[in-house]
Amino acid sequence: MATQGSASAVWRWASWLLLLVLWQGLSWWLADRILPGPAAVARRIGAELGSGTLPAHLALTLGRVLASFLLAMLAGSLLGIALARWPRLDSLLDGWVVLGLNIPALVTIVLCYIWVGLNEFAAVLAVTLNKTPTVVVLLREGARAVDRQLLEVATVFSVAPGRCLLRVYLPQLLPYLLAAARTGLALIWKIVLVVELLGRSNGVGFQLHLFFQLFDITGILAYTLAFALLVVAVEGWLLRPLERRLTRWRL
Amino acid sequence: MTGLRLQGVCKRYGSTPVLGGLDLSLAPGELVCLVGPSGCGKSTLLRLIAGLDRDYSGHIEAGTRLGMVFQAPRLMPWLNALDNVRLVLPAGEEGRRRARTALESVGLGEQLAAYPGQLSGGQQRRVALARAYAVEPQLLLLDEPFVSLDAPSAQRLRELLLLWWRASRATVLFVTHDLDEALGLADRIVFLGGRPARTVLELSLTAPRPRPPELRAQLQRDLLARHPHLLSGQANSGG
Repeated sequence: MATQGSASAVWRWASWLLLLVLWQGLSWWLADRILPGPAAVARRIGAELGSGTLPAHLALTLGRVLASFLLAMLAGSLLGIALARWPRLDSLLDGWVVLGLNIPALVTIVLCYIWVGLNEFAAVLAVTLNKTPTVVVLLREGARAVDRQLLEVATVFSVAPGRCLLRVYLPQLLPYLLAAARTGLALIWKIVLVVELLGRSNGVGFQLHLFFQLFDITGILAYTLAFALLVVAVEGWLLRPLERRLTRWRL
Repeated sequence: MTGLRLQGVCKRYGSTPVLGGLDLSLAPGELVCLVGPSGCGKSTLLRLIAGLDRDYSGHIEAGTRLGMVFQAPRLMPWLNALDNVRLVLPAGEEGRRRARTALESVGLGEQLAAYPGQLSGGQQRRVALARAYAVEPQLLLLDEPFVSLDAPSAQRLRELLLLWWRASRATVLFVTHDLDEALGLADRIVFLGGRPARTVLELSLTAPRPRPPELRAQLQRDLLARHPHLLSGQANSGG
């Protein structure tokens, strides 16, 4: 087992190395002006880190990502469970959910800015509205799959509602919550950048817009890479260990 | 002390009557086996008594503290043996102590930290028994709890049940379709049959437990000689 694990780790690192080599090769072939090499981008990240600009914009973007992530997870979970629980509500709202899934992110963003104003609330609202339908669909599926037989155990033994929720109900929803969280994080940060580009004067998306107008490719790559690395770190050091911990019982 | 009293209990699924005005009384501390052919409404009756189905007519009077052992163990796969039992007990040290005692009494003192997936079928059923014992029920309902176990394991769990019952003096209603099992355990056997189901025969057993296999076989032969169709839910009148 141990050798197998370390072998897969070697391959994982090799794949990152390969990406760097390809990037460098492509940069030589295309010329530095079109595609700056990894070294130039790394230097730029260092400089932007040193001046404090990159951390400031990263923090703002990350804050928006977290706020809309938490809101979408909460609203989507409650709505998904409610739809699974009450079929009549489901028939009423199912069409809206499908509609919500298919409205382009751009439309929600533009309409939120027009109706609510060019402010922080509109930005977070737009991202939340984009993500919520996918959470609803996943959690509705999860709530429908809940084992009624286990809930009956809680009923027969008069387990208090709070404890039943924590120990009987939510553990069954956990795989669906985790799936929603992982796909959610990947989707949300992409939408947040668009939201920032269209109507905010700070954040990674705003900076990318600026670099686009200046044709500053090194800047674009530096900010993108910095943020992508941050998301990969959250996934690898927060979500995946959490999942392992919570599904320990699956042997 | 409360036993269990059912008066005129009727239950229908749609237009199909399942239970037709059933009367049944258990004295406090009595161990009664309910025997009947598969699908005759035994499990339905237990669900009504357990309060899992409130859509019936008639009157059911049961003790407040209820324990139940289902046909499947119904353990939470994400909780270890100890936490599965603690789930139904008050939080804190007192609950932990009672859960541990209950698991030790069914011989699982070494497996407290094991998840259900790590336990054998028989061990999972022991956890389910411990969970029911731990609440110190006034009324214990068992729905064919030892079905699909190998014979020696089932026999050990029956002995455990009798040990626990003697110590607790709880009222026990045990549903089974296995006449031999009922003859080994019960103070009284109630036979159900017909559609909708009603009581077709009651049999009191006075022989002391444990009842050896020869005695059980003899009892079964006598019973079936008088009521050849008893196990398909029919008794001869005047028998």
